[in-house]
Amino acid sequence: MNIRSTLQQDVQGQARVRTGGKLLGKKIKSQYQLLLMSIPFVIILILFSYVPLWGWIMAFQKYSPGKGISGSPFVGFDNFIKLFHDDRFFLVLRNTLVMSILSLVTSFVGAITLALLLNEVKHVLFKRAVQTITYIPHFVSMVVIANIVITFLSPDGGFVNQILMATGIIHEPIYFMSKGEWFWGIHTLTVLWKELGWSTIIYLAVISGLNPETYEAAEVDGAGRFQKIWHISIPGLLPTATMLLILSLGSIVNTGYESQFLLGNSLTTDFYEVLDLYALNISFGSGQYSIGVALSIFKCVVSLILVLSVNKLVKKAGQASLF
Amino acid sequence: MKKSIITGLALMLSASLFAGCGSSKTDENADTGSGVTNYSMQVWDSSWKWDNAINQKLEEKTGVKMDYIPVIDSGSNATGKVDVWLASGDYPDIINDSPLTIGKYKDAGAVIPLEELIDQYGPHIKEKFGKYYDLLKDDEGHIYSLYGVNLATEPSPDSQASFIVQYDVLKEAGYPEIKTLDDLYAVLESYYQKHPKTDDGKEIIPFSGISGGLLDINPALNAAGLPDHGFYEIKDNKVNFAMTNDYAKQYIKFLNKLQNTGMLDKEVFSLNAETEGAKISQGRVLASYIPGWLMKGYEKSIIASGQFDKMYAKLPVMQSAGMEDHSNGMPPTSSSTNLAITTKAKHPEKIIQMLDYLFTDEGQVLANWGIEGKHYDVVEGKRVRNKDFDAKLQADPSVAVSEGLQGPFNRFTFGNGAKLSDGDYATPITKDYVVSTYDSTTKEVLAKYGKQTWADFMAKPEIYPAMLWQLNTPEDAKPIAIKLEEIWHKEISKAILAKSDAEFEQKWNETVAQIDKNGKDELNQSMTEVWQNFMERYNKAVK
Repeated sequence: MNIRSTLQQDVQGQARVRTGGKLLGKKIKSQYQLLLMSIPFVIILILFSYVPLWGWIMAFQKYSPGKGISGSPFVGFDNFIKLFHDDRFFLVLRNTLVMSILSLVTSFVGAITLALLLNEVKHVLFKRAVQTITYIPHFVSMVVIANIVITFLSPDGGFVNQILMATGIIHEPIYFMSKGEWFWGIHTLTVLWKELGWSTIIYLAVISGLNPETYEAAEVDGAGRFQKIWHISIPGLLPTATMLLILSLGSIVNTGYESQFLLGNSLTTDFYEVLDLYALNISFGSGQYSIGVALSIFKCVVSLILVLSVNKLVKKAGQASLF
Repeated sequence: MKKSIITGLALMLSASLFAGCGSSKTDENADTGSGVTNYSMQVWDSSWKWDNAINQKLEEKTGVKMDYIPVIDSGSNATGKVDVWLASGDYPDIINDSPLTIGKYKDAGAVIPLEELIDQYGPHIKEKFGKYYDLLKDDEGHIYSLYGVNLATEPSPDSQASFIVQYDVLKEAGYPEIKTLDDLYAVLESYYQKHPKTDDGKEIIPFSGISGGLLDINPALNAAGLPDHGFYEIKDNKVNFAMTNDYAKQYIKFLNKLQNTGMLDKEVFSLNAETEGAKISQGRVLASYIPGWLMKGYEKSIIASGQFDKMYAKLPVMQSAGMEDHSNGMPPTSSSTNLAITTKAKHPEKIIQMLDYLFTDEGQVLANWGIEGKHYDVVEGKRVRNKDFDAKLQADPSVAVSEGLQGPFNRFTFGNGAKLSDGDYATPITKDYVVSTYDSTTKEVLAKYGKQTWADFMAKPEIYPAMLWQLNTPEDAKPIAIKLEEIWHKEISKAILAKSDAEFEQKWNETVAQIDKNGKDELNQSMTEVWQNFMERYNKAVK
């Protein structure tokens, strides 16, 4: 609710500045308290998001911490060439994109569906209970979650295997975590389980903020439960959903690495290694900081292109866009 | 009124942002008046504290106090924090790290050469290193880091082989000699056929292991009787990547055989030190490869549960009967995590004086034995551990840390079994002491084999000039080594899971091809150069 309204205000505010160019001076004068209040945050943004960019120089050097940026020799685009010539890089890029997209789709569909379902539940206690239970895993460390998953799927007395064996579906326990092809599925389900409840909260807030009169009017017109969901709740959610989609596309190559690293093992390396893990290994494992930085520049460029292009598409489709 | 409050608030917020950036560090080596100097020092264990009886005594004697800065991931893998220190120029007075990291600090001019200081303030360091003193020097004759020297000539009585076999298995088989992998396989198989489940109904796991190097690298080289040079072997002064050799294949084949007969842990690739420890403590694992530093922790929990017959014998197991065991290599120095003094340290001579104290007999007794009357007593002219203290230590090993017997200065020990000039041992870990810590079941099992300690099973120690991992891996070779290790684990796991001999052969060949393709020769060449340079220095230094 908050995010949506502030974003909308932002959009409206920008529009106002654009149309009233002549009045800019006056606007500044009347809003100077707000502008002053935003100064600290702008400084934080510059300090932590723009100032560190000078470290990108490292990508064009053969950097060694002892010599520092001023002392390391420049090598041009060598690091990028090395990066793009590594077979592993494309494998890792594939893993990253596949796992991101799978998580993105499942978490969107899952969160919206759960929000719609919960909204229809009139029993307050049940609703609260479901909500709490689904968002608790968000607060649990990934280390614990991964261990739970591995233990559940273990071929050595794991819960899932025991059930499958007891029901006679299989006769030999399956070593789930050893199957590379299954890793993406297991990983997606794990992340969905961990984050589902949390990402539902925002949609629930939006739905409860929709004007109840619309529902009442629809009811008077004879709309059933599904028709109300289809014609009122979903269109009401759409602007928020689009906005969140654009924002999360920006981080489609920034998957983090904890979940993959903790769930993976030597048999699934080719399926679990993602860009962030690759960057970590290359920078802090083998000390090739320059290639690590080159990789992060690549990631930034990809993210930027994705956000800008999706934003443009959405704008064309007439939905609420970022800018 | 309201506006001015908001304005003021905004300004305050902005100001507070900058306040955080300023440096407020002053007087790092502040003299606290009583002649005690404070130094900041990187350590690699967060449980270590300066504040304990032994360190206080050290402070009294030497006038030096350390502020520990723990960096948990130091060592060969995650060198991040220490690199960041160097890049920002904000490093502590003393760093403790690998030769590679100290090399980086040296290149940046961040650590100071110590040879002149040692000449002036470190007579005991010089005396104790003796003929190995020149090993401390680099090619230009400078000393940038310090470490301990090993003066013991026998294996440490608390050392042990890493293949472990449950007492119950040995008892059932009538305490046979287990010398080869085939012997091991045979006893495991016959026991497993008779007892597929534990007494409380859990499935028995004949062979388990911790995924990674402890599953597919260390045991393979250990069973081939090679000294621990990491995943290399050194032959005729040349370094070779060892894992593509036939002996490695034989060990992987052994794992494959266990896998195909259902005797290998079904989830062996997902096990880490904790989960493996849990299985071992439950008494479900019959045999495995676990080095002593992990095993000691696991055994505490078995002892706590009182299941003494579920404890483990530690036996050296070889690939085949005729093989010679050279796995018990002893380097003359303990170089690995080494101490270097940075340019930040004021009065570095005080640090050298303190280190020199540790190289005296008095310093060794303080660091290894502790304080007389509290940690040890002198009985009939010999030092023995204090009974009360020993009881506390046996009940809770972490007492050694809180009392200061374990800490960053332990590595300057002369070694278990070394003797001081008074003819008595330098450390409390003597054969008699080790035997006294065993429970009665262990003593029984050992008696069946006619041995007193697990160290007695091990091959005769051989003095090696150095272990390869003690030397500096060049910055260019490190990425290759890491890549090859990753490929090895990834590809060889498939070979271990192969369903038939033909499939095994195919997976093995794929592994070898992958390793060859990804810079094996380059790595060999690079490491050979490192080794030969070292040997040249060694031969010159040790005459």
